Amino acid sequence: MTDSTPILELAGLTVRYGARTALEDVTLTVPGGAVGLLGPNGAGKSTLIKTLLGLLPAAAGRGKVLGVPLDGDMTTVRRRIGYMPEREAFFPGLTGFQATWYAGRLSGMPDADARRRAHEMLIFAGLEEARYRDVATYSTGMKQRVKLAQALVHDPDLVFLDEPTNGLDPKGRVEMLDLIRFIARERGIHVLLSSHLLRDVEEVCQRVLVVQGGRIVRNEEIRTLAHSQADAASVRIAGDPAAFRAACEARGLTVLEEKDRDLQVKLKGDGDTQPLFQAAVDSGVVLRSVRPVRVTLEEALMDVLGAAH
Amino acid sequence: MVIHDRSYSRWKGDRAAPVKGAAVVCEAGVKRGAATVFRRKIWAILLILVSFGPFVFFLGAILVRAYVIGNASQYQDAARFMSESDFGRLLVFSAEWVYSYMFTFGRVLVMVACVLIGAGLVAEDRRANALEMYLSRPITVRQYLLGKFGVMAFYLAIITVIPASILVFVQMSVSWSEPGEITRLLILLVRTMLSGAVLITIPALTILTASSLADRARNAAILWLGVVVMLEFVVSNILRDVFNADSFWLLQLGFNIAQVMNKLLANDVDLITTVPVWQSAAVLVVWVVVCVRLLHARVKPVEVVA
Repeated sequence: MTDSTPILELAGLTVRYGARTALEDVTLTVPGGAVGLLGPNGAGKSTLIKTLLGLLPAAAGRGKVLGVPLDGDMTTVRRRIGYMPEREAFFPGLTGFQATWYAGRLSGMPDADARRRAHEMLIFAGLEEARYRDVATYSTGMKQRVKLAQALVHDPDLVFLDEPTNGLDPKGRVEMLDLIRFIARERGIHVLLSSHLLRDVEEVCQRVLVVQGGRIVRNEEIRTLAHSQADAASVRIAGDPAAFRAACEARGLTVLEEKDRDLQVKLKGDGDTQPLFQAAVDSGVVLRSVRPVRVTLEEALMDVLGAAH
Repeated sequence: MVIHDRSYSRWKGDRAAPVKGAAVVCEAGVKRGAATVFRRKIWAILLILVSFGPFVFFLGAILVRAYVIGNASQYQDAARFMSESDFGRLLVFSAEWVYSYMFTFGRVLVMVACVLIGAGLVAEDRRANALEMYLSRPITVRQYLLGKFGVMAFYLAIITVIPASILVFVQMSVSWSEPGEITRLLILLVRTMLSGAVLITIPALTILTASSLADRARNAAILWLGVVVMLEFVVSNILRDVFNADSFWLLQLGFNIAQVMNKLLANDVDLITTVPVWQSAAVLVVWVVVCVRLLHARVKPVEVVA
């Protein structure tokens, strides 16, 4: 794989659990970086990750992970992938250190390297003090951290994180997102972050894949999804809102929303704000502020999911 | 001096080196098995004494006989007794002794080891969702199962075929003056290993399969003991009595193992049955195939409920 090789290339990928279709005709290309996998519970996010790991067979279609075909030798590509599962999963009877060392050994690391990296990753994940305790005695947050350490111990090129902030308190959540952001931005590790929490994805990722009903309904940069709406303005006035509304409508503008003295006004085709000022003069109100309307990721996502229904 | 980097550093090791998955799984399993046994030190000591008591007895018998015969000038009567009497000849480590050591005495230990170490091998991994952790790494189901089988085989070999082989070696080392005896013992060593492989493979695969069918070590042990007890002592005996047919011996795994081991050891043992050895061997082969198929069906990274 070269640096320009997409981390994921899928074409018509379909996955079924018996008669139920979990993923249908998924076609996408993801260049790399930190990518969010967003969607409601049961949308097919975990199924997609498991299929990309080669844990679930595809019923139809094909795909490549880090340039390696899904129907090829997945053991080779798994050396370069880290995986943090959604549910509680650990090697029974081992301490945090032993479990992380073991994960490194299973990924093909020599014993000495696995030991050194296990210490480093547990310290990186914030488990320095607890690393010699049995994982079964860890709190939920500590289990999430040890899963992250295990996913990173062999220094993967791509890491799949399935709901990494599940069960974390607010402080733990912030710390976990900081760690993920760090490895993605400072260390250049590609991240596929699956979550149903918008904020998690928004804080870490540059790109988002939106999954709905087993289909990918959006695959684009977050900044284009959460965009400024050029043809609408958010206006704050001093004066009579009813008179301003009437003046706007007389000048061919549509008031989308009105809340006290805050209004959202749909502008004419080219986003010209001049009619707004004329409407203010006509109605005798003062414009305190005029700003473009921002569509948050949440609003954009609700639009996308609503449209997909 | 900073011992460990507190940040995230990239690993510069060899990413193309082959992954010895089965060996890694086996090594970790052996260590965990030892930790299980040694959790209660008094039990561990008792187990070791019981396991290796017969070994020490046989070792002593071989060495005492060799010493007495080697110093015949000092112990003339004793040396004649040891070399010529039936009792003296009985102390020579033979195929019968190998069988007694490994099977007659050893099978109780095999059962204890299976329950103590084998029952949790797959069941505990299933319970902790560790299969997903294993199989999302460069490990195949086959490597995982081979590793787990290796754990069980290691412990069963320690209490059966390894001490028996050591005793054959010791017997060989005190028999250098008799070339015919050395040849016999070399052949016996090979036969010991072959029959030991049968004794290890069947219980190890059976307990692994039982373990894969359960989600707790305790349940796996109960299942395994249930199957063994039912087949060995209940079903086979009842059907044999009702139908008065020897072929129901074939339902007893222990009987089949004994038949095949005796054949491999070239022991002329009368098992009071008309069942041919090849039928016992066929039953064991079928058992192995069933166990392997069940294991492959049960050991999956993702449980798919259609």
